[in-house]
Amino acid sequence: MNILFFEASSVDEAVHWHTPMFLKGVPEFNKRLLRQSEGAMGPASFILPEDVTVAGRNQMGLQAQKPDWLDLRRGMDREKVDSEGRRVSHFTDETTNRGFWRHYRYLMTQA
Amino acid sequence: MIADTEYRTVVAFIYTEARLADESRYAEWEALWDDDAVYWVPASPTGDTDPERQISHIYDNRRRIATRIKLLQSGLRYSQTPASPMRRPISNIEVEQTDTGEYIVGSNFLLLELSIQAQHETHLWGARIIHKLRQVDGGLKMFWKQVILVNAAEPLPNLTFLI
Repeated sequence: MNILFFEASSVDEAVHWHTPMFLKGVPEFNKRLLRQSEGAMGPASFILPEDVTVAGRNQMGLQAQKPDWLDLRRGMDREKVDSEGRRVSHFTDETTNRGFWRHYRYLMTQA
Repeated sequence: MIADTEYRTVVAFIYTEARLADESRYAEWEALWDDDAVYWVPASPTGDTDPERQISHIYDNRRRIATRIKLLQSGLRYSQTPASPMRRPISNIEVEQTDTGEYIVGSNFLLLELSIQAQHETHLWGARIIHKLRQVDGGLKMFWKQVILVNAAEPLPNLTFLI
């Protein structure tokens, strides 16, 4: 359980901040959450550094300008908005990535 | 004060540890650890955080060190495939001996790392290191390594090599 922040600092750089969430009244369990957070998030963890490396390679690919677009269409045809206003689709679809970039574009152009 | 020969043995261990880390010789580096290992990189430049309550970049026991090494050896750790070329001079070495005969070793280091896996950026890391060593079966083992980075509280690039 973590809270993440993406802080865009320039056109080609962003800082990924994260903090674990603790529960009240369970210090021993919170120690496990702390170790899990260190295992998953952060520059020396077991998951996020791989994403950072792949993102770096993507950045190099984008700078090559060929092809011109990153294709995030997967699942657009089966995406729908549920009764609570959430955009949902199959879990392998790019719905979350489209949501991330839709919000990013909003922040960078409207806010 | 400890005897010169003892000092030289301790310093030789510190240099060997640095070289094995520089060259990503994972199995040989792992073999330097004793069973009650603590490998700690605090997220604070003062190094005085409580790792049971505050987040660290690394706070590994012996089992998690083994997991870290297995992952590096798997070939699936993209953030160290290929491994970063590195060199680290170690200096300002001070050795204390405890009442129980263990050694507490303080040193400073600078590490030049080429992050070769994507954009080939060069990173400079600097830290205070505290090693704790003891004699086990006629040779030294380390049971504590704390790396207090100068920029520990800043946004950091990948730190998945052996620091």
